[in-house]
Amino acid sequence: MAEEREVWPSRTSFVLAAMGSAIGLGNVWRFPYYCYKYGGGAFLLPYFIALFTTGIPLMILEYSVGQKFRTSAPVAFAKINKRWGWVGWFALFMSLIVMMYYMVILSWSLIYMGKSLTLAWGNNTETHFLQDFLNVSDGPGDIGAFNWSILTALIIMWIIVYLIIYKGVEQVGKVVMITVPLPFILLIILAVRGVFLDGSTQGLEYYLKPDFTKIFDVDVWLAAYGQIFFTLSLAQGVMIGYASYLPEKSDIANNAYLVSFMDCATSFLAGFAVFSVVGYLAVQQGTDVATVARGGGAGLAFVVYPTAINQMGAFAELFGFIFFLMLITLGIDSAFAMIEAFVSGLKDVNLKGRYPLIGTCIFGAVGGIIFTTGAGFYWLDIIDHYLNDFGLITVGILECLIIGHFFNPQKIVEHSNKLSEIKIGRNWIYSIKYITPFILGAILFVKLTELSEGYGTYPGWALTIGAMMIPISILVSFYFVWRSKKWMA
Amino acid sequence: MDGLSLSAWLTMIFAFALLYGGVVYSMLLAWGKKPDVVFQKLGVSKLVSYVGKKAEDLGIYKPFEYMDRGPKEKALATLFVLILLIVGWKAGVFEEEIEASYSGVAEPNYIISNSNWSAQGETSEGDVSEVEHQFKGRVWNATFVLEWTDDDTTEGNIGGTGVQNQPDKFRLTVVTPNGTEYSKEAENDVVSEKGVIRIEVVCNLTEKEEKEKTIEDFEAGNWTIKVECVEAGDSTDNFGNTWFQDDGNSWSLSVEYSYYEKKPLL
Repeated sequence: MAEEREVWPSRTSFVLAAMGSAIGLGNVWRFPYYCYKYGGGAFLLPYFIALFTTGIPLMILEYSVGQKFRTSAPVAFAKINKRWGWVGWFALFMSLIVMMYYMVILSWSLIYMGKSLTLAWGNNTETHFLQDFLNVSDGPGDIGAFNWSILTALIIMWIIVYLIIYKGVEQVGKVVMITVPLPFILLIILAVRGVFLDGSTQGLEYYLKPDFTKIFDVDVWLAAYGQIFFTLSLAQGVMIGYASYLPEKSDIANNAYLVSFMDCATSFLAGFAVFSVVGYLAVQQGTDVATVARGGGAGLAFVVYPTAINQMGAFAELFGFIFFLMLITLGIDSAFAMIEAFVSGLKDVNLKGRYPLIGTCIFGAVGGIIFTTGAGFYWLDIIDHYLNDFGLITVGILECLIIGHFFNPQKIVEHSNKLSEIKIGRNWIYSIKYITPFILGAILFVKLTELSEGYGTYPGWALTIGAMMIPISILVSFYFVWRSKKWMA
Repeated sequence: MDGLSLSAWLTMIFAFALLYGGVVYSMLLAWGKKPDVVFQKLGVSKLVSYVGKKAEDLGIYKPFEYMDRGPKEKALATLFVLILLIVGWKAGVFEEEIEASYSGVAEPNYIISNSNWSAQGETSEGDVSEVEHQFKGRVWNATFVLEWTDDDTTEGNIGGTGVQNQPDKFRLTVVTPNGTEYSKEAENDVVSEKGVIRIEVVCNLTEKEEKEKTIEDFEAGNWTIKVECVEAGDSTDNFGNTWFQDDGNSWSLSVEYSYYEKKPLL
């Protein structure tokens, strides 16, 4: 008799877990920066169009596939058509690699949370972060020494994640009751604190003031679609995996709407916490917002924010602590969602017991060691670039093509409408068959044309290694398809 | 948030309403409440119907009439058309000539850093001391401060001879890497004997650099600083007799400057 599949203890648990997976570090350090860079408030127009034409339709697709087939991405795609099982593995391997460096960023946050208690990053936060803390070497080829404090924090983070998911989705459902609302509350505290700082208006003006001339810039549309795609944790097999634990009669479409709206709403709120502080810092340093904002990303979290915290006077330590605690709680849901998705993929091909989880955690932790070296920062940047710009988009296109053209999408519509409070129809089918693959294809095409220009100032051999992660993942995916037949036999 | 522009406020209200409105709508559905009923109670449905009807009366909905939809869709279509009109208007689509240049916030490829530098020297009367210096990066603005203290030569003023020290006159000249020259001269104060010359130099970005916020050349270039002792005033008495001859003076130069630096890794 087949083993009964676990189910989420409640709809709230599933929705919170899915929100936790979607809402991550990118909501805080990527969306606000994109908004500012691509026309302030005007960026919201392509962003919302992207949400409705690609984000929500793909989310509904992933929930429907997971819930209908009640299995993880590889087996679900294999059930649609045996030839496509590798796409599920490919998505999961993308997640696995992302997870390796994502956990390292969480380790940085853990250490910085400790540092915030004494503002131990000092006055020169950039030198502290790059030299004293990361001990960044001269380039990706100069591996340098292991950073033992980051390595220790990495192991602690992996143990925490293991303890959260080792009992399955029922325990995850309980954990997310804390780890999803908490960062949201902390974000509200930071946003409220931020808007009362001197100069916050200057930063918010940059963030919100619409510059509609940018609407006609293709890059803005590509950025909006890209951001929607990444922020919702699509094409990583995560949402399919989570939805596979939904009970048979669970809503699909409304859950997708709820998670998508909440994710975007959190991003928008995060902009207030970020840009109010950036504006404050610009006034304090007598410079302009553009100079302070820099390029978003890790620099924003580990250099700009600590610099601002230094100047906050009373309760500076408290706000530093809140900020890094928020980063950890935001990120950890996304991290264990990715791990859980991979582990459920292994379990669905008959690898039973705790070995899949233990193996994945050890593999992930060992793989993450490279990111704790002096060259780790470079490798993180390189691999993140190729995975996001090429790997995940490829998976997204394949998902749409498989469901839209190699499967009858009407079946998904009927399945979703039978269970959901919000009905989908022809628009959804058009979106999955034509609009989303066309737009993702356009993004991929543009990225491919830029491939020869390289990335950053990294040497060609390092970029080749980063880019090779994608074909290697595809090859390993085919191996897993072949191997899983034996496991299932 | 005083001082936030109207368009920023509108953006904020629109985004919050759409996103958190969407969350509330979904949650109401999930809790088994019919959002339409809730909206009816809040008067939203009435407002939507009113907007739909008005749109029809004003002819805004005309292009969509063939779709034969209810007031909700009509209101949404109207909203969509209005947004497009506002976007088009703000983007200058309806103006005769659209400025081709970028007017938005571009991402600069530089940051502005601060630093300082100092030098000391001694210059004889009539001589010029020249210093060449390369600052850390391409200078945005710099304040040059030349200071000297005149030699105290009135110690011999015994018995009311009226010996007075005449002030020293210095000239400070700053030549930027592109040859622009700034120059000032001053005498020291006869009481405190301290002299100061301050020159502020601002090197603006070119129009293109300003627009695109992109600097192609971060080269610092050589600056030339010239300190000239125009006159070293002797100590003379009421009868014009020289009691002490001043040959020159020592000085110190300090420079506080901001410069453009290529945006670092982070």
